[in-house]
Amino acid sequence: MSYDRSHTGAWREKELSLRQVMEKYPEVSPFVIIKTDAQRRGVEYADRALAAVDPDIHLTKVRSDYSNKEDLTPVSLMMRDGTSICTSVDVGGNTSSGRDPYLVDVVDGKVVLVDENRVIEEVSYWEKPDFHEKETSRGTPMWHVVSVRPQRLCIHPHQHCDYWKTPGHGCKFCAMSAVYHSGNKPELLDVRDIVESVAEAIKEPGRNVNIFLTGGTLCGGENFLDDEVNYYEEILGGITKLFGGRRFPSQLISTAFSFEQLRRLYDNTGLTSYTADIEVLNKDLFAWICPGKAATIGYDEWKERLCRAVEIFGKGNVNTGLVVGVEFATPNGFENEDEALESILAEADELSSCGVGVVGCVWHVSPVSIFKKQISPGLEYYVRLAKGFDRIRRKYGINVDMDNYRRCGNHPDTDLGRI
Amino acid sequence: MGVLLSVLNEDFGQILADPETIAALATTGSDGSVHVAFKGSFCLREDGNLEYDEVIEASQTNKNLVYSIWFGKTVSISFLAKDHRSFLVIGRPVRALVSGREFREHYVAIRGRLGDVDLSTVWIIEPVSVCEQSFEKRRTEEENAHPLFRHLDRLAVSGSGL
Ligand code: SF4
Repeated sequence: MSYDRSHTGAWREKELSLRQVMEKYPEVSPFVIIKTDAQRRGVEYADRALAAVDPDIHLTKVRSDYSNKEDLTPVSLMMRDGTSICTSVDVGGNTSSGRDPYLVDVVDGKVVLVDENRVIEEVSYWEKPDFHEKETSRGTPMWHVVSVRPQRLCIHPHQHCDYWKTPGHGCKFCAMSAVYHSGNKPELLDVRDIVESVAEAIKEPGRNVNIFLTGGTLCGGENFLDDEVNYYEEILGGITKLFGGRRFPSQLISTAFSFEQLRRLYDNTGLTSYTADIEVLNKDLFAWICPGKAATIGYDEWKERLCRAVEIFGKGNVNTGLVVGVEFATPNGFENEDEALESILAEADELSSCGVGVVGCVWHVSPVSIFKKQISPGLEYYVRLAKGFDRIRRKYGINVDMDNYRRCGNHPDTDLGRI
Repeated sequence: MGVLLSVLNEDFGQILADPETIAALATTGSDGSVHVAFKGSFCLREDGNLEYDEVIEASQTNKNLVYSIWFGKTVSISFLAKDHRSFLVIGRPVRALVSGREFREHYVAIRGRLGDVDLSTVWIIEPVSVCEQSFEKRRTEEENAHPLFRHLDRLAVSGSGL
């Protein structure tokens, strides 16, 4: 590995260390702080850690929107408190924003995260579900169709994104198109394959608590986005039959649909919660970073559609995700963390006042994205923002059940809602 | 930990396994309030740790156990056996199993016992101190340790002639 593992790695001198952040924010779960940093910097595996992987037990293969791997590295990690660390080895090589990743190693018989030769915390590998090696009636491996987190089934029906098909419209942090073109994935999954795989997966007792769908935008149709709505309606309709036509714990992250499109999805399927990711809470930065979304829907309309979605799904069942850190991308991003926090939390407060939750994803700079040379912010910023989102949700009584540590596991701020 | 529990000089595992044993779990949360709840599913693990199945995800007990594992706080568990002996275990939550093979075993088992219930978390609690709290035992211990802590009428010799 070519990372600077010395104690004097230049980046370490520019930001608070993990230990310093934990000491400065003693009221924030140290598990959540460690998770945040591991997601930010990424991980790599020592030989001993790889030797501890049992591919019959642990999850090593994954095919999803941003991943496509069959090697024997673990897909990701779990902490002692049940917190998931959603990190994986990048397609195209590890960047970690120029920071050295955590090392996963085995010390005293335990799998642990190590940084600067110090054991940080014990972790374990995600386990494989029963259905993983099975095939659909069409002969499609089910793991090609449904990827998993420890307690969630993830379906990515459209594995490319129409925004990438218009030059200059792809989101600048996004790796979806590059991952799609680097592999052998079909652009669209077969609906029967999806429903059969879900039917098999939900037989496993005590494993899954949520069914999650997301994929790239499909712009076409009679009305803009109708193709995407119709596709999800067909898939969700098939899955809903598996639950006797009743609602079931589920989340769709899609492009921001119109009220009528969402109403149709809600009325015709058992979907329970809805997310449309605005990615960055700043109008100018949205236009720069998410040009396709800005050109076709627009910032204000995106927010308006989120607020109206609450009328359909109810408070606590609608949220929007941010790629936290892209707001500092140069040359147009914020230059000052305090200013960024104030501005973003003010907009999050406004959205939450109409019942829309705001959740953050830690920006792990993808080496195959347009932003591949950008640097994500320091750990302390992530902790401050997570605290802010948690405080705002409590202020407006928005619970995080739809996107919490079990149903998703990707958001440090919703982890804070466990207590 | 096995050593800690063996000082009880009893088959503590059997007492835990007895459905007539009553267990009260006391936890504290982020606001400092103490929460006590009677629980029916403590077991002794081979490594000497206790395990406890929390059925309700959003219960105050579960939140407080998360708070405890996050910030290194202890919890107290009082066990009252059917023969009225009681034991106090102070423990530290060290692991929350929320998925995986072991979680699944607990999930299947608890549904076998209780019917259509869910399972939130299998909590692993490491004992840091254990003592028997049965009334007679504690009374004798304390009177020996603090011979001055008693009313004089209990000591006065009757029929002394004065
Ligand atoms: S909408 Fe943006 S972030 Fe989502 S898949 Fe398309 S380009 Fe990527």
